[in-house]
Amino acid sequence: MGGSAQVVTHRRAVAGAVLVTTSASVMAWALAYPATSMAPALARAVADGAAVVTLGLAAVPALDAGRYREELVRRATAPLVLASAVWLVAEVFRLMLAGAEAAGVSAGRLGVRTAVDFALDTAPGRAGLLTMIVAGAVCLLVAVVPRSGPACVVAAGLVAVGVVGHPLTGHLSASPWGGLAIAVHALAAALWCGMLAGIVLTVEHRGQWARVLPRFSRLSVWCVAALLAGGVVGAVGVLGRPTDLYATGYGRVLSAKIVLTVALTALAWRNRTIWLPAARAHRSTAVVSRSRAYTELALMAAALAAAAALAVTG
Amino acid sequence: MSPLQHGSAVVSHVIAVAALTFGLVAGALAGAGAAWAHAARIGGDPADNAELTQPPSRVSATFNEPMQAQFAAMTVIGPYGGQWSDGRLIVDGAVISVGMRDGGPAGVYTVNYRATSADGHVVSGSWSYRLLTGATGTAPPPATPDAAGDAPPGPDTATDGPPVWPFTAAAAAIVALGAIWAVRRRS
Repeated sequence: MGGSAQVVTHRRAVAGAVLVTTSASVMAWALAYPATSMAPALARAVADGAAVVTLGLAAVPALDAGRYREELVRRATAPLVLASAVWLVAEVFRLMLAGAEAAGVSAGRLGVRTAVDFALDTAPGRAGLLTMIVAGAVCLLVAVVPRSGPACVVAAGLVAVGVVGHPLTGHLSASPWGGLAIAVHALAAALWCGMLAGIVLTVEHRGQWARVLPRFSRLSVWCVAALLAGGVVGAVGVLGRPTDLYATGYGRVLSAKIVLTVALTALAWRNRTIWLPAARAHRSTAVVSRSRAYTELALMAAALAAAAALAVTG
Repeated sequence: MSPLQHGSAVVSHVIAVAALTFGLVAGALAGAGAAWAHAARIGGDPADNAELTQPPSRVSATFNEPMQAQFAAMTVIGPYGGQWSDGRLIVDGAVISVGMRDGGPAGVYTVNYRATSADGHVVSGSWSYRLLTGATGTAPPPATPDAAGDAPPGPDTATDGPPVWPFTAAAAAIVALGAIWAVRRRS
């Protein structure tokens, strides 16, 4: 049965994603040393990665033509349940670690009362709580409610709310423009990376790639433009002067992220000029398409881990 | 126009729009850069390494951005490891202050602080000042804090309730089992 081969591929993909995310988190931690700590950055990277995949899986059916959409919805359901569950669990751990850090105790010694105070009374705590509720609602919605058009739209909208919750209360929250820029940046990045992950997890044969890839490519141009605009505004806002790019831990992680983004954009551009026409003309096999997508996704995971480390670097 | 050329035209339009947007927004926000810097302590009263002839009635730290009232803590440790802050902490925007007990001896006092900024980042550290003339007469030595003098103050563990990690672990297990069950049921 083809199903088992598919599972193996997905397992390998998940293992690869975990490996890339972990090593990128370690790299970002080393770059930011001693301005950041490992556990919160890793929890954040896992939570953000799961959120991005959830968003992509919730939105990926929109990439296919109307009458084929049902199949993508059906294929996306199981990974969507798992991704949103991982997101929920990672958010719970992230809230606990953030509360422990704010209270100045180790995570094992954080008391219930302090944790509840942190979750209800502080802006990052409330953002974490909101994200947990959203992740739980999406998980429940997808697992219980039969998936129809409106249910998909509601799920995607909920995930989008969850994705911007943390950026809005992050480093730039003091400035409304900075908060907006980072929210746009995060949402665009999540849509771009998540959609590609969603495609890899749901799209099977070359006919589907031929239909889905051109739409993804059109969407990703807008995403990259929004991502760059929001990211540059945010970076200019956070960094006082250009020398901060290598002189501070935050700046070094940001520099790594800029390098990754440039590499990713170049790769995406190359794929757009070579892979896209081939896939559209059914000349690219599903295996080739998949391996190209994996390369791009690996870079995306590294950039995402760097973004997560950046968010927890003080 | 081939689809590829059309795509390139769209891309160059998008890049132009993005560059223009960035230029306008960056120009509008150029003056606001300093206000977004990371949270840090920018001053203290008494100042770092100040030499005082009168004991202060309050000790305060000023930060570069407003701090959250929760999770702020500040202690002042005196010459013989006694805690001379009275625990009455006030967070007023970017200023965190704590009241002082009367009757401290001459010597070096270390102020340890720990606070959470509006964006959730923890700032902690310490600074010292010297009191040249101590209080006349013998003041009762205040209680020595449990932790070492240099450690940033933490919450009162006695009123903190049971640890939260078993609940977190249980929630994670329930969610994981539920998700696996839901996926199995479908396939």
